[in-house]
Order: sequence, then structure tokens, then C-alpha cells
Amino acid sequence: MHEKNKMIVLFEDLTGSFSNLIFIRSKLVGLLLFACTLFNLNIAAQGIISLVVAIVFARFIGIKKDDPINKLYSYNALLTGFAIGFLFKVTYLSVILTFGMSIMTVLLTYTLSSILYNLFKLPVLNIPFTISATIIYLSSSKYSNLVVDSFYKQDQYNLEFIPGYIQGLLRAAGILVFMPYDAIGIVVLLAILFYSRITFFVTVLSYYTGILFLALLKGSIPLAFAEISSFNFILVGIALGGMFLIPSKRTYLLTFTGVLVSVFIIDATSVFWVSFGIPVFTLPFNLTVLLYIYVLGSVKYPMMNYTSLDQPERSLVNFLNYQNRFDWITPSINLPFMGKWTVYQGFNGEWTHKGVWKYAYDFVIEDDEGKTYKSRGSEKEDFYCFGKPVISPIDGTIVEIYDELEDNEPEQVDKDNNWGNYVIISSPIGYHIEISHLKKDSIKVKRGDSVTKGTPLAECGNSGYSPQPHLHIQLQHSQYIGYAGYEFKFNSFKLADSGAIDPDLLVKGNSVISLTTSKTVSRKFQFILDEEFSYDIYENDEKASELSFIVKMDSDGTYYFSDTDDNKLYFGKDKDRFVFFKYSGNKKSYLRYFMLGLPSLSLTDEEKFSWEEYLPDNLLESKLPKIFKSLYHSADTTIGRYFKTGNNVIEGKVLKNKVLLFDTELTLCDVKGIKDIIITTTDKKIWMTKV
Amino acid sequence: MKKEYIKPYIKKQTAGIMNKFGVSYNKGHREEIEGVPVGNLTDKFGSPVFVISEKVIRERYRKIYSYFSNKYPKAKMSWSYKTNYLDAVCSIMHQEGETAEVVSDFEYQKARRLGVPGNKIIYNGPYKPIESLEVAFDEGAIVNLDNFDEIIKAEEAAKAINKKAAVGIRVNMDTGVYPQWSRFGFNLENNSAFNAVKRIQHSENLYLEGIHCHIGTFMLDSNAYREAVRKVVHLMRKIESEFKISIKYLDFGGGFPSMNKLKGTYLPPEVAVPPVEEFIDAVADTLLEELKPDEYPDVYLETGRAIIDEAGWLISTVDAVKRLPDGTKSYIIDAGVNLLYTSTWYNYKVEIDRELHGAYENSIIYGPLCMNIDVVVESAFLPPLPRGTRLILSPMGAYNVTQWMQFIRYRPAVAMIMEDGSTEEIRRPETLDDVVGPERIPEKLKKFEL
Repeated sequence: MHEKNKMIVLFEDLTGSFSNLIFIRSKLVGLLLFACTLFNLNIAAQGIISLVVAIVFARFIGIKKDDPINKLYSYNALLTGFAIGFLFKVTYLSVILTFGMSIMTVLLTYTLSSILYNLFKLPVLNIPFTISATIIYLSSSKYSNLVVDSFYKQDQYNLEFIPGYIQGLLRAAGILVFMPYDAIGIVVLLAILFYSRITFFVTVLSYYTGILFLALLKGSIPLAFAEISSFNFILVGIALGGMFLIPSKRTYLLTFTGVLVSVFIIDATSVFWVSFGIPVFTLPFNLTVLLYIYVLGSVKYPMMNYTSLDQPERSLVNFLNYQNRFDWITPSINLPFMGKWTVYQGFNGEWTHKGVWKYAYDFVIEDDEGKTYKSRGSEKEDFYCFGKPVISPIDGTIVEIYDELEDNEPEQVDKDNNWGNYVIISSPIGYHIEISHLKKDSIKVKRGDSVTKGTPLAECGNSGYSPQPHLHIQLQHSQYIGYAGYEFKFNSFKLADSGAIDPDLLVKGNSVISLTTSKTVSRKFQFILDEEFSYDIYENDEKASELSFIVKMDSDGTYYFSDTDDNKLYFGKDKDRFVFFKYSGNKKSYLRYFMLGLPSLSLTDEEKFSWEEYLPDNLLESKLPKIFKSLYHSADTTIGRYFKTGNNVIEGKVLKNKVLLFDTELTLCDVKGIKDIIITTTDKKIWMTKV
Repeated sequence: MKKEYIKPYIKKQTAGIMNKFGVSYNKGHREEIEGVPVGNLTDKFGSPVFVISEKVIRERYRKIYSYFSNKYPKAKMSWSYKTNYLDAVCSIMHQEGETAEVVSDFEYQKARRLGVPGNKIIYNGPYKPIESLEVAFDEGAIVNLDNFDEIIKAEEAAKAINKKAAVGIRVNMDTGVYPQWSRFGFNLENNSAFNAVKRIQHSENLYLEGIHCHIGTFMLDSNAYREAVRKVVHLMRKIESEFKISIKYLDFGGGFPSMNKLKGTYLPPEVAVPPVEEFIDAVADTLLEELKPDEYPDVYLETGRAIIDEAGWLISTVDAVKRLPDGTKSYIIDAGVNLLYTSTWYNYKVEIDRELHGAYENSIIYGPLCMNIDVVVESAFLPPLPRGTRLILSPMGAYNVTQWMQFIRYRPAVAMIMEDGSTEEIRRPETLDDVVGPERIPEKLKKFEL
């Protein structure tokens, strides 16, 4: 790829920084805001000078072009330039000030950003600007030459016919580009509305929430609307409600508490600041948001937005995709046996799975009649599970074993040694798996042995507190017997009666069939970097289009298919499954049908099974605006129900709000890749076939 | 109860077969099969009639499969068509999830006709016509090759359809049992199995995917299977490291016994025949000992007799009672050795349909054929049977309805007792048209006058 023209790069930096003023990253919005500043050429000029100086300085001292710090200082420098332009018209004296302050902003940004990020993993926001602006106001009071030379009175762009309670909002919005005028406010709000309805929603709501608190406390509504620092409410609202938290009813509520907190910070700081003749700038916003992010992050608040997506709508879609499809918190292990077993006691069981031991499973083998034994069951050997192999459910190390206890005869229990003979395996991830009631002298491993998933450990027995032969398994944080159990899940199994794969929770009576990973099936999904795939696309049996894509790797190490329009479909392996993690691109691309046809597949040689999958909202057109979705996350949900019906065939039904949208049929190649995808709606049939 | 009149006779006293264990014999009688009165079955389907129980097949299969799959994670079972390839029987097996194991093009076609996809068929046997190999390769069947000439034939077949075809090899070896089945497949000890793999891997149209062996039939010692598994796994390792390939499946065939009494054995099958679990233990335990979890191949068992034999009975009728000149009691029944191929090596269990009195004696049961060899049971310990008594012979599920032949009489009906107790005719009795259908008379032979 050839180097981009320097002017284009500068232009992109400029529009990017402008749109960042309202936490948006869009060239169009940036351009619009830039246009707004042109109404006051002093602001526009000082802003651009400051931005250019900052960039040149940064390059001069060796900050690389692709350093993420670039976005931060250019945004802060732009604000600093605005602050100068707001006070002084462009003269050589004010430009000297801009020069100096712009460099200072770069230095401040770099330093503060390092400190905040390294110590607290916090963003620097626009603290550098707040400090620079304060310095400008304080220092310029000493520069009589500058003030005489450059101080000016600005043109006003106000529309007096607008009622005060709207003017307040408009001016607060205008201040974001240092132009607290009605007309500018309208443009800024429209830009926000155009870009994100959710951001617009929190902008308006947090402004009025803040004003409401102010009005109540001050006892005067006009006074509240006249508060110059009330734009902080908007900033707090956008940052919390749209950026750092996932939009939802709960986080909106949290955002309003943030607005409330900022009210007091505004008034408290203004007491000091005003006596020095300086406004509070964005200090309340910075303080409030940093406090919230730090605390919410520390307590692991589940609705934090850890992805750096700038549009709240996209963050929401992304969050729901991951929340509904992947659980990377609860440990997930394989079943400790082969073939079909039945849950005899689950979590919170009726007999022994209580209190700190509530997270445990007991398994037995049953026949068609639900009996666990043949003939009369009077001897332990009559029980189907007695003597059956117990295998390791994880990759790990054996840390404890015990196998000296006799197996009880049926109906008898060993009350002195509840756990019976046992094995404890330690996982490198940090937890331990305890399996007990093993058969005497059957343990095949030693302390310190490394085991992999499937390694035979022992045989199922009837030692300990066990009235009939069964297997007990639990997950502990301690490596010693008898300690508390913690929640865990199984993967790589199917329910015997429904054929469903990996449901989250097993209950008493569920029969499960343990599955093993298949090399042949895994090989079908080993896509290699730069590998190219082409598909012919037929709509209603007429050739409609072609699709070709290539395998690439993202900066975080995830692989994805990238088509010619730069739509991306991320894929990989998760818990013995092949998965399409997410789709990023437009809703027209044929690439998304891969995910609609097969969002995930268990890599087992089992041929018939079914599963259900949440499908992210960016795969299909949606009539419901995301603002409603943010208030009610399960609204307008798309679900895919998939059935593996044969060696290479996966059939699916995609339903929106439980209404069938279309049927899918996907065929895998014998060796590698996906051969055909057929999408059938009521009036259309799309057939994609590998070339 | 009124004592019945029995005609006086002279009974020759013999020492009997020397057997210090003593023989058990069945003094009871059987009025029903799986809940259906014997009389109902003969009324509906005639006599003789083969009776097969759906419930017993499913129970036997599930018992064996669940035991196997609880002991080995990639356990697969394939239904041995030659054991009993009646459509209804095969359908039960396929409903249970078994694939089809065939040993001829006829069986292959029969399985396909029943709806078994080609890639769910294992094609074994020492003789496979080249045309059938082409079809099998084209449809993705598992094909286990038997000899070097067959490798060349397979190569030609694959070339003809322009495909690189996956094949397996059948191997034979010394597992410590006599007689050693050395006529099928490539011998392991003399390295011909390894050479066969070398030949296959050098072929442009073939590649190796699996190893098949079948060490014998009606095996009574499970240790032979341990030895077989060990040897096959070692061969697999050697092949994998030598040729850098990954073996997808191992197939240990069948050969597990049923509760039938082999001729020449002293002990009743309940004592002599080890439970089927013992054989599965031998296979599965040895696999787990020898392999690491990420190496586990698919492992097939082609159990036939051990599933189906005890699910079948033959009901026949005593047509005449005869005392032979040497004083031996004999009966003529309506089913002969042409229907009962397995009578050559089994002493069937003989049950009667009613309570009968009188002294038990060793009796011979003859079939209806006009042939000296038509002896159905050489020696059955029975009370005097009046004409019309129904005899229920068992176990009868394996091999008879595939190896029976039409000879002087029509082959009878086969009935199935369904799980709900109803009965179905799964093969109607033959008619004249069935027999003469394929025949053609040359023009000049068409007319004769007598």
C-alpha cells in the first residue's frame, strides 16, 4: 500500500479530533463541527494552529505516527486552542500563547496519560486541557500586552425566540465547541442525533437531570438554565451512558447519579475558581467520570464496556453478542466419563449437595427403565457404573489421591470417610477438580502426574458415603479434600433425549452423552492466513453475485475473513467448538451468511445434535431502533436453532422474536471449509457455493 | 390330576455321555414367546415359522453398545448383515444407530436399497467385484481390503472413477487361539500387513485409513481379543510413524459367542460361554492401556450373533413319532436342515408348547427332507410327544434366515413380535412363483406328452 498523502492524514487527524469533542469518531461529524467553528474564525484558527503545533512537536520529539497517544493529545490540544481563541483573536502574540500551550498540552497529555493508565488503568480524558486552560487564564492576567492587543468581543449566534429551557441545552451543547450559542447548539445536537440516538438520548436526559437538581438546590429555574458549566452534565452523560458503560436501564440510572455528583463538584470548584476569574472548565466531568470508571472497574461491574467502540449502539450489539454467546468466567470442564450417564444429584441437591458443597454433581448409569443395576442390584458389581472408567475432565496435574477404602455393599455407607477414594486434579488456570467414591485400588495415576482431557484416572466405585455406586465431581479452590465447591459447567456433551449440546445447567434425571473432539472435523476449520476462498452466489437459481474473502489476523491475534468490501467475520476455537465470534461490517454482505448459517459447531464426530444460538443484531436489518433495545435488552432478539443432521450437514432456522425469518442449510466440505450455504425465505432462495 | 395312559415300551439303559459335571436339561415347557402364545403365532403364520423379537434385539444391542461406549469414547457398532439381513431386522439395527457391515455386492445393494448411505457401510470380505468397488469408493464406503490382488483391483476401481479412495486393510495374526484364521487378510507376523500398507501408500489412487481384523467366530476366550488389540495398536503406531498418516479407525470385527450350545462341548452355554462384557472389557481396557486420549481412533465392533441369536426362535410341529429299530425315540418335524444351517454345529435348546407327562428319554429330531442327513437335533431329552406338539427351537436369530436354502419345500414365514406385543409378518412364506420366477424353458423343451 502506498503512503497516504500527508494532507489527507492531517485532514483525518483534524476531523477525528473535532468529532472527538463530542466523543464521536466520524469524519462527517468532524467536518460539521469544524464548519461550526468557522463562525468564529479566531476559534477555528487557534484550534487548528494548536493541533498542528501539537502534531509537529510530537513528531519532532519522536512520538510515532501509530502511537495511540496521538489521538489523546491532538484532541486536548484542539480544546486548548479553542480556549485561547475564545479569549483572544488571532494576533502574533496570541499565536505565541497557542504555540506554548499546545506544546504544554502534549507534555501534560503524555505524562498524565502514562500515570493514570499505568497506575489505575484509567483514561486521561481531557484533564490536560483543563490544566492548560486554567494556566492560560491565570497567566494571561499578567500579560497586559496580550490582553490589550488581542482581547475581543465575540459575535453572538443566538435565536431569541427559543424558550429559555431549550436555550440552556443548546448553549451547553454549543460550549462543547466553545460556541455557547443557540444556532451552534442546534448543529451540535443534530450531529449527535445523526450519529447515535443513544448518545442523543443521554445528552438530553443528563442535561435536564442536572438542571433539575440545580434548580431544586438553587430554588431558581432560570438560574439553573443560565449555569455556564452545565455542559459538564452532557459530558458526564455521554461518557458514562454511552461510552464507558453498556447502554441499559441500569447504567442510565447510574449515569444520572453521576450527573448528580457532578452538580456538587461544579458548585464546589467554582467557589475557588471564580475568585481567580476562571471557569471550572471540564473539571467536574473529569473527576466524576474517573471516579466512576475506577470504582466500577475495581468491583468488576458487569456492564462495563471494555471494547473501544465509539458508537454506543455498536458497543451494545457487541456486548449482547458476547454476553449471550460466551461465558468466559465460569470454569467449564469436560465430563469425567465416557458414554451415557445420568445426573443423580445436581447443584443444590436434595441429599448432600448443600451449603458450601452445593456446587457438585453425582452421576450414575441407568438403563432404559431408569434402573441403575442389573438383576437384583444386591451386589455392587450389579450396578452399571461400577468399574467403569473415570477420565480426567481437564488438562492438569494430579495433586492428591486416595484409594485404600473398601467399596461398600449396596445400601451401606461409610460414615467416617464421606469422600471415599478420590483424585484431585489441579488446573493450570487455578482451580481444582475433585472426583470421589472411586473403586478401591483402581487409581491409575500418581501424585504429580500430568494428565490431559480423557486420561483414564480410575474406576467408578462405591467407597465413602455412597449408598450406591456413583461418581461425585466438584470444583474447588483448595487442593485438599472436603473444601468448598464453586460453580462450574460442563462442555462437550449432548443431552441424550433432546440431542441438545452443552446446555448450561444439568438437573437430576438429565442423561448426558460425553463427546470427544474429532481430528477430521477440526481439520475442516483450520483456515490459514492469506488463504483465499471464493463463492458463487445464486438468487432463485440465477447467478447474482460472487464473494471472495481472505483469512487475516487482527492486532489482538483473532483471525477473520475479510471480503473485498472490508467486512470482517471473526472466527476461532472456544471450548472444543469452532465459532464465529462476531461480524463487523454492513448488512448487505454475503459474508454474514456464514455466521447466520453456522455461528458455532461442536468439533465432535457425533453426527446428530442440536443447539441454539443468540445471533448478534448487526447480522440482520432491524426495525427497532437500538435506543429501545438499550432499555430492554431482550427486545427484538434473533435466535438461530441449528441441527447437525449428518456428517457434513447443518440445518438451521433463524427466528426473530420467535417468528421464522428463514431456513439455512450449510454443507461442509469433506476435507476443509464450507461447501454450500442455502438460505430459504418465503420468497427468495440464496445459494452460495464454493468455487 | 388324572394320570395319562402311556403305551408301554422298553428303554435301553446306557451310561450316557461321560461327563462328570452332569447335564442340565429343560423339563419345563414354553407356552408363549415374549408374551405371545405359541398357538397364536402358528395360527397366524403357519408352521414352521421363524419368530424374532424386536424387544430382545433392542435390549441386547443397547446392553452391548452402552457397555462398550461407557468404556471407550469412540465406540461404534456396525451390523453384520450376513448374520441376519432381513429388512425389518436391519432396520431395527439402523434405528438404534448401527451402520451396515456387508461382505458382498448383494449385501451392499441390499443395504443401499434399505436407505443406508454409502458412507455408513463397511465393505469387507475376500471377494469384491471391481464394479462394486467403484460404487463403494464413489459413495464413500469404508472398504477393507483382503489381499494384494485386491489392492491392485481397488487401485483400478479408484482410478476409473478418478478419485483418491480411502481404504482399510484386513489383517490376521496369532492371538493364541486354534485354528488361527489366516486365510483372510494380510498376515501381521510375516510382515505382509506392513507391506500391504506400503503398497497402498505408494499408490496414487489409494490411501490408508483403517485396520480391520476378525480373529475368529464363536470365540470362547476373551484373552485372544486383548492380544489382537495389542498387536493391531502396535501395527497402527508403526504405520503412523513410518508413513506420517493418522489412522482413523480400527475394526475388531465380531466373533463374540451367543448362548448356543456348540456340539461337542460338555458344559451348558450358561457355564461355558463368557458374558459378552468380558469380550468388550478385553477390547476396551486394552485400548485405554495402549493409547493416549488424543490418539483414540474410532473403534468398530461388528457384533452379529451376540446381539441377534437369542432374539430368534423356530416354531415347528411334530408330524410323526417313530421308534427306531435300536429303540431310539425319533420325531419327524416340519422344518429340516435346509432351513437350519446352524444345526450343523449347534445343539439347539428344544422346548415344547405344553405340559406333557411320561418318562424323558434322549430322542432324535428329524426334518421332513428325504435325505439321510436331515437330522435337526441329534439328541434331545424329551417326554413322549404326541403328533401336533409344537417344538420351539432356539437360539435361532443368527445365520439361519440368511443361509437357509429352498429345497423341495417352500421356505416358511418369518414373524416379528413387536415391542408392543403385536405380531408382524416380516417375510411371507414362499410360493411357487417365487421359486420358478427366474426360470426359463428353451422353446424346444416346452412341449411334452406323457
